[in-house]
Amino acid sequence: MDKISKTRIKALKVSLEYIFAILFGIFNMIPVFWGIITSIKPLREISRIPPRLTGFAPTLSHYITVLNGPFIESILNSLLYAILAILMGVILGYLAAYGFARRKFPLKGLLFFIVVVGIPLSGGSSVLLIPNYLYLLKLRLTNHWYTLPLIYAAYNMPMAIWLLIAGVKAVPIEMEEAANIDGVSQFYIVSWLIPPLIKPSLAAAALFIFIGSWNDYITASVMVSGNLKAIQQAIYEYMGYFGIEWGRLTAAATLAILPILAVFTFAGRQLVSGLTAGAVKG
Amino acid sequence: MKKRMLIVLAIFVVVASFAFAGGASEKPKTNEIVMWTFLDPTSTTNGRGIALGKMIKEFEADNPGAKVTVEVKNYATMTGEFLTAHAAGNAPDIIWCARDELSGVLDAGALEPLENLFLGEWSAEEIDDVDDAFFRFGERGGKHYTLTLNKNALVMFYRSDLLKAAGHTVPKTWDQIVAAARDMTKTEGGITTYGLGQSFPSGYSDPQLLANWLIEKQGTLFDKDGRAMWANPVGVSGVNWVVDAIRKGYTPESSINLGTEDIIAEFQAGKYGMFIAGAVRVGAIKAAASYDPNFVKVMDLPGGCIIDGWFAGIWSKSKNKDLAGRFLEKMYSPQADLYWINDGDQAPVRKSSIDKITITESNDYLTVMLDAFANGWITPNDKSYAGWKINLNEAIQRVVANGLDPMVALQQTADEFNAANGR
Amino acid sequence: MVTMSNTLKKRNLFGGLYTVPAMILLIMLLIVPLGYTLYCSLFPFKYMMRGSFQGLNNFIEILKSPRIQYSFYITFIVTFSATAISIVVGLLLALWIDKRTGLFAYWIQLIGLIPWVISMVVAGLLWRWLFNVDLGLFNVIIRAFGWNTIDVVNKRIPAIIGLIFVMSWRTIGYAMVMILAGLKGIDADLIEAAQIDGASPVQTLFRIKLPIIKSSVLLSTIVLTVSNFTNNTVPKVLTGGGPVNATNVVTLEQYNLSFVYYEFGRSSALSILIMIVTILIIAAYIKVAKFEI
Repeated sequence: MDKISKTRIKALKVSLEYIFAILFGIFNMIPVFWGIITSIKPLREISRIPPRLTGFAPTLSHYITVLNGPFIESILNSLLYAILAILMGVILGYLAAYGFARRKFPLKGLLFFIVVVGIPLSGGSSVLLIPNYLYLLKLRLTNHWYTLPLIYAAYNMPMAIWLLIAGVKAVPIEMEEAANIDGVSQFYIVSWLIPPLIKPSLAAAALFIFIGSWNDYITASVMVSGNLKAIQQAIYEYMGYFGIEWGRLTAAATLAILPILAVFTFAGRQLVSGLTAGAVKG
Repeated sequence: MKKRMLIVLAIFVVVASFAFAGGASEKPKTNEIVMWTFLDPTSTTNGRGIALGKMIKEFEADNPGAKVTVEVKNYATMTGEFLTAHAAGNAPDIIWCARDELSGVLDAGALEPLENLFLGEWSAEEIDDVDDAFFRFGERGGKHYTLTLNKNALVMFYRSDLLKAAGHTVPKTWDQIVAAARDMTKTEGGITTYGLGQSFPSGYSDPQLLANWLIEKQGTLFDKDGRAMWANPVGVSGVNWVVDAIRKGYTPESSINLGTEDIIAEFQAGKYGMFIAGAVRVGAIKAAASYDPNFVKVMDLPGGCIIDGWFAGIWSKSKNKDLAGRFLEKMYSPQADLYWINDGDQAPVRKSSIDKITITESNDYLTVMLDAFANGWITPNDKSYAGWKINLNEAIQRVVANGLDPMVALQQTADEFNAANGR
Repeated sequence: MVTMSNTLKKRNLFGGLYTVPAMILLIMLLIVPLGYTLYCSLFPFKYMMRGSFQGLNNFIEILKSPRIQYSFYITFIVTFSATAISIVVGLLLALWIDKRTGLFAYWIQLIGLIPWVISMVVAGLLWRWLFNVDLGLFNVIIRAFGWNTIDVVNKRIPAIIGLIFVMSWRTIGYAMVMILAGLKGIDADLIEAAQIDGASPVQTLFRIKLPIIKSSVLLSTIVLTVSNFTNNTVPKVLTGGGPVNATNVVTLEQYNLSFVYYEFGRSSALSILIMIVTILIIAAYIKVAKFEI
């Protein structure tokens, strides 16, 4: 009797969890669902009182229009910018974090303060937009393929450094000292020994930089144009001076989520295994 | 340790070389002109973009070796970027300025007088062909700095079917508008249609009826020193008229924070009998209307409509002024105007083009627009008049939502306008 | 012995070199423009034309303005509420997911991150549409329950709540993932040892887990606070600062100063103020959590 009711309770718990998971999914995806539904509505069906979820003849015309434009190109551009920014940001950021975490040096406080000052800018705000634009224009650095990766790396690195400092600090210094005594070079310690131990922090930093680069609109809109356009600019195309083209806008936004889902599907396994591998053992 | 340092230095060198290599290789080419606009000439779906694309092709064919590069920018921040670029010494050759920003651009000395380029060679006839309120708006000190592309008028859109069903003809006076709004307001099957749609957001919006009221009754919104002139009995009566519409139910109370896009979407969904919007939106609204698009019509407002447009000029420090000037001329040529009209579904920029259009039921909005261009009101161009739309909206907001006395609200926002514009 | 201390000294002098490449990038693209912003804030800069030196005049003008004062006030409220909600809910979700592995956990994280990852503009526009009185699904559901329609965009308190809601919605998944990463770093042996010693789940939670993930929670809190405070997209798109400036957060004021009034001097001053405030908030968090550098 006991066993059966225990199993029942467990089954109940599990199904409650699944229900909750579904509710959570719905909650997070409401605008996405609405966007997807809108993107397959014919133009005349989009503005309607009261709004409907069904009862219209779906169409792919918005997607066709969007795909005929430079949309794919802008997705590839954004991926390039994000990847370059991540490489630069994680590598340089990790090195800097190691320096801050493990070393004392003159001006350390000042340099760290500079990092801290950079954190408010990591949110993708437009605080520095005009000065940066002016300054990059003078240097003729705008509108190149490396313009945005450099900016995204710089804007997001303070946060990455912060995350990585915490990660490096979690590695016991005894490990490094032991390795030193064993005759392992400093280079090896920094490049090969520590990184696997701080995978979660590296992943978190990379994720942070990726999102910061992918989601940015205002900086991209000012710094590059034409073939170099980023994904958000392509989406903004449909919010022009003559009004919002809802069908195409939602189609473009829906398409923009797909690469992210792809990244997570392939790299996600790494992310999760990185997160579950845990920190130092023993 | 040496290895480590080498790696660090290597990375440093790589990063630094990006900066310098990029900077060194850029030299402006002599036959290339750059234009900033929000239109995309490579678009296959946007009519105006297609028109622009044609003009560019023809221009490049007529001027071998010349190249026109269009950088598509966000219309809201385009002028801000241009001013920054001008300060940095690295601005495009041709820029499109919005009406409310032109005086600032002229103050900064960022545009070249067109008389120095091609305008001096135009015959009196040609000048007359383009001479209107828009042309005069781009004038300062006897010189003209801009030609107006994409002219717009803020007209009253209406549903001809609802108007007819309410037993009215096109209203011409304020009282007639009220009557039409009253009779078009009804609730059927749980859905309420409002006779008059208005919006008073603090963000971007089209000018609303209070502005038209002030213009009709006193001719302008500003006194001769550029100070706000609406904290007076005319303003109060205007505010009362607007608030009355809300209190009597022909304008929904939820108009306080409605944005331009919201009210347009609601009109397309059938919520309103009338509302104000830019006439350039006619095509888009008709295409997205959830009812028969032929019922979408526009009409003039008492006292005339407010007009608006994009003012194209040449950068004063451009290295290719002549070439850029010729392209600007090209965009304004009678031939190009036909592209703007036919491909772009736009109102003509030249008076002479009017005779070349046939007015049918589907483009009869053009007559209203042309009328508005001839008689419409535009802000003065001698000073900055930033934010007046927001100030007028906020006056209404404070009366409706906070119960402020109209005169007090108008005075507050008038002071805010004056302060923001340095008066 | 002497060799050791020599090596140690050398290390510490050159230790700073680790930070050099990153610093160069940061100084070039963050500090220099920041310096220029500071410079701009000391002059009037109408239409990008420099006027005569004004000292702290721009700052005083801004701080005196009741509009800006209210703006900071409402920004604080929105930011802290949204962050608090996200962290608490994210923490609960992370604790729940921690026990799960495999596909289920993976999918929950994926779904959780979608709001953070979607274009903010489109998400904001879609929420605004969903909240529309006549055209939006939200009120359709409200009416189906028999209640009166709630006009989120046009009424003061619903607008503030709506803004906090959308900002929380965006960041809950992020908090969950960040905290989960911290939880995964907890040694399972530690938990086992505690359970063998007879600790209840609640005790395990409060005495062991929470202290260990303190840094994850702190980091998330900092990131989300900064992200919400400096977010200029969601407020602009969702409520436009209305109704009647109820949700007029500082980033909107900054945008207006830059692109409506072209007062770059004042908008630079406001930018500097925003930065100072965020740094102070971060410093406060660190003090409270006793986090060591």
